[in-house]
Amino acid sequence: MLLSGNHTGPAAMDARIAVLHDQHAQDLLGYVLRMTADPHLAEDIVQETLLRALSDPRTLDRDHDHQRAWMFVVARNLALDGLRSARNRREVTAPALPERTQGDLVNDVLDRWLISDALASLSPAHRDVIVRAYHADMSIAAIAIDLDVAQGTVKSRLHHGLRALRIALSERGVGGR
Amino acid sequence: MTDSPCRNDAAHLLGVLTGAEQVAYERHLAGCAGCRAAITDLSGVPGALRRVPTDLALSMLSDRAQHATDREDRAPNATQRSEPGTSGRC
Repeated sequence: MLLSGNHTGPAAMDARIAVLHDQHAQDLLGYVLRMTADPHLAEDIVQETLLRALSDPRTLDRDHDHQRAWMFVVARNLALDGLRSARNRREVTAPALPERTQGDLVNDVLDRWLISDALASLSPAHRDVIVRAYHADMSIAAIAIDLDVAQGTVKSRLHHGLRALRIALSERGVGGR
Repeated sequence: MTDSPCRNDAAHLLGVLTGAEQVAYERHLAGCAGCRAAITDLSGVPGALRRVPTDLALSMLSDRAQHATDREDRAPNATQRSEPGTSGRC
């Protein structure tokens, strides 16, 4: 179990962690993994989120949906804040990273998330051609066949899609330069 | 659909034009101020894309690879998002 090493509370506490974990951990992990693309970091954030939920007395009063929303906000903020709390907890079992590297890591994670979020915000038509061209390294001809559209359509979608991405990056404070 | 060379700017930046297309586009670029401005404006985007891990990017693809088979994709598209300062047309 995720939290077994860090927790010494009574059995009721264990039961509450188990309930929260069963109800939310998998979805939280997927969400955070998408933000950070780092499985270890994502697991740390989920762990920290569960711990915070457990230590928050209002947790008992929230209904399921409210609690779930609260946990997603906490997880998102942890990622954006650089996850220092989660990192500190992790240092109990893992060697500490040098400060400078930790700062770089935080910036890398944040940038990567902002850029991924910008890419995710595009229309599927735009995203599908950009990811195929750039990340899948496909030619325009191959993309056209894959999507069953004319090659001119692929070029046109790249043309408009890259502009949309440029705007989405700017909206997130990423210069794209 | 018109086949304006200006439309190839993104493909040029992403490096997916064929050799002949690349030569033709570079020739066009020399005489098209709009494209030169567009290329400058978009020049940072590939670098940003590089920061997105490949497996994460691929996971964002539509579930239906054939999603775009309907005919409206081949019709002139009047619903594009507004573009940044530079016009895409020559």
